[in-house]
Amino acid sequence: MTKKHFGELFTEHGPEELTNSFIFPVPLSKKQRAEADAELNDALSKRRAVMSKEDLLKANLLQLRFQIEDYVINKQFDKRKTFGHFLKTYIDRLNKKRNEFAAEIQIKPAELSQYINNHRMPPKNVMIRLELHSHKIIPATDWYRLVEKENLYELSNNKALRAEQKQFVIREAEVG
Amino acid sequence: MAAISLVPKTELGQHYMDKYGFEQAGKSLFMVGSKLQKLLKDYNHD
Repeated sequence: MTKKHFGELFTEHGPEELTNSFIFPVPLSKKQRAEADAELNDALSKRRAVMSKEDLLKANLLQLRFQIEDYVINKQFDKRKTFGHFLKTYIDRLNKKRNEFAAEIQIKPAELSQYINNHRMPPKNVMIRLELHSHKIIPATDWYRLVEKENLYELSNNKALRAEQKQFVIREAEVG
Repeated sequence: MAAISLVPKTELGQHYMDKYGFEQAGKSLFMVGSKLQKLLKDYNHD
């Protein structure tokens, strides 16, 4: 977009309408990009240095939420990025022992281990407890989407179950 | 630490700061902490 064209849009619509409707890319040279990144990193470091412990924890949990959401919208399946993996990361970021965390959401330590080690999928009530525990920073729906992504992958790729179930379909729809 | 950032058109930078509470870092604007949480709540409806 030329400067003239943008100027016309700005005069006609004003900043409110433009920022609500569009994201205007600002092309930067490699050097400008590097400078902008350095300035941003510097500002973030300064900001981090004056944040309270509580605000830092909130920011870390919010970062975890972004990581979960980035992963669930990505079409690629990564067998390492399970519900259990993100739950373990959540507990690590809180700097809590597993037993302590299990007590805080009123589940048995053995049950927590099963979730973390991917031996058992969590029911919805546990996802709700996780949402409440994080003060809604990580919603239950994000935890649910992780489980759903694993289930979808498993369902799509379960050759053994397909082979086993084939015997029960004695006549197929006549579309072949 | 969670943060969002953007490089705005010069003419729009002030508006982003006034309306959404972005902070300036050279060419970039960024948002962290409770302002970012509020922005997510307002636009995510959670």
